[in-house]
Amino acid sequence: MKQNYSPPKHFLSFFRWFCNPKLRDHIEGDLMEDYRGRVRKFEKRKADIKFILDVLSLFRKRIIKPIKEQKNLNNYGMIKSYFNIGWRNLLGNKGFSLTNLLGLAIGMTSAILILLWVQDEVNYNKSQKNYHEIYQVIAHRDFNNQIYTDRNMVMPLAEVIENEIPQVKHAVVTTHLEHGNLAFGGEKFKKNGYTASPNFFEVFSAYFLKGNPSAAIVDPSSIVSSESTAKAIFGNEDPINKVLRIDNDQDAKVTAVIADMPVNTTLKFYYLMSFNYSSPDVKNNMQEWTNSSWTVFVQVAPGANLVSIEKKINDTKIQRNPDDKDISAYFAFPMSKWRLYSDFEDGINTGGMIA
Amino acid sequence: MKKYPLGEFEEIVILTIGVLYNGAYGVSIKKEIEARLSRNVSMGALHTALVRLEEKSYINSHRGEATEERAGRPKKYFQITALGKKAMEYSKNTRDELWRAIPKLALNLK
Repeated sequence: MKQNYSPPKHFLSFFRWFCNPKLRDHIEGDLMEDYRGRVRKFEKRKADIKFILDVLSLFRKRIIKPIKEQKNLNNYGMIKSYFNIGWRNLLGNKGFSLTNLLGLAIGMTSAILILLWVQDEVNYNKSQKNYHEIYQVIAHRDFNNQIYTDRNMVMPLAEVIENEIPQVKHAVVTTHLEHGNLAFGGEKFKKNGYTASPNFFEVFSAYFLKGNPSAAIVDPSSIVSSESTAKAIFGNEDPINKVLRIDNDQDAKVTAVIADMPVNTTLKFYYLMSFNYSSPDVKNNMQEWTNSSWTVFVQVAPGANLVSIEKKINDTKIQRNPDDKDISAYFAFPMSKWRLYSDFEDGINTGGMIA
Repeated sequence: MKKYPLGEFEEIVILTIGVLYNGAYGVSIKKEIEARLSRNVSMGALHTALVRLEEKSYINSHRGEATEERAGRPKKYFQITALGKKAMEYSKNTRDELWRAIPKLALNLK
C-alpha cells in the first residue's frame, strides 16, 4: 500500500498561515517527516492527532510571524550599511582619507567663497530701486584721433537735460567723491561724501533712519549724514539739527541720517550735501559750458528710447558749446555695467572687473 | 550578570547539535533528545529553542536537501559557532565549579 497519507489539511494551512515565512519551509519539512514516520509506525488517526498537537505547540511567540509584515518599506538599512562601509574605509586608510578630505574641504571652501564673491559682484548696485533706469552720462572725446572716454561733465548739463528731454525723469549732477572735513565741537572728522543737486535722493535710493528724503537737502546749508558718520561724530546723541562746520568755510545742519550704503554700491558716501546755487562759485559754474569737472546721472522714464535720449543730449550740449561738436560723443551708460564693464579703449567698451 | 545566557532546554539542544555534528536538523535533533533523555520534545519547544540559539549566534544554519520524505521541503542544518562553544564551556565550568564547591558531607545522604 502506498504510504502517501497527507496530514490534516486545515491544520497544515493554519500552520502555514501563522508561521514566520523565514522558518516555514524547514519546520513544515520537519512536520511532514515526523508525520510520515508516524503514519508508518501507528495508524493514521494517531499520527493526525500528533500532527495537530505539533502544530499547536508551534503556535508560540518566536514561531508566529510578526504582526506587521516584514517587508522593508524603506531602504534605510541599505543606506546605513553604505555609511558603515564608508566610515570603515575612512578609518582604514587614515592618511589617504585625510588628504582626500582636506582637498575636498579646501576645494569646497574656495568654491563657496568664489560663489559668494561672484554673487556680491553681480549684485553690485542692485540695492538701488531705480537700478534699471539710472544711467551715467559719459562722453567719448576725440583729441587728435586719440579717443578717450571721459566721465567729467559740465555742471549745467544735468539741469538742461532734465528740462529739455521729456523722457529723462531726473538728471543729477554731483561732484567727484570729496574728502570732507567735518568739524563739530572742536573735533574734526575726515569723511567721504558728495555735493550734489537737490534731486539726488529722487534718483538714488538710500534708507533714511531719520529725516525726510524729499526735504533733506533742499536747503543748501543742510547735510545728510550716514549712520556711521553720525555715530562717530555725535556718539549716542541725536544728530538732527546739530550744526557741522564743513571744510572750515561753511556750516551745515544735519537734517537726516541714512543707513550706510551697502558695500557693493558705486556711490558710497558718508555725507551728502547739495550745491548752494546762490553762491558766486556755483553761479559761475552753472554758466560754464567748457569746464568739465562734475559727474552727471540721469534717470530715464521706464521704456524710454535710449538712442533718442543720447541724440538729444548731444544736441543740447553742442547747441550751447558748438566747439564740442567734433570732439565729444555723449552716451548714457547703464548702472548695470558700472561695476563689471567700466573700461573703455578707443571709444569701445572693453569690459572691466569682469575680465 | 549572565555572561552567556543559555537556558536549560537550550543547553540540551545545543549539546545535541554537537552530538549529531553534521547531521543536526529539526527531526534528528528531536529524535536524539527523545532517545537519549527519554523525554518528549514538542515541535514548538524545539523550534523556539533553535530560533533563540540562532538569535544569540550560538548556532548557525544552512539549507540542506529537500527529500521526498519531507514533501519537498528543505532541511535546515545547524552548527555550533565559536560563541556557542564558549557559552557551552561557560555553562559547564560554572556547574563544575559549583560541584567542586559542594562539601562532601552535604551529599552524604542515605
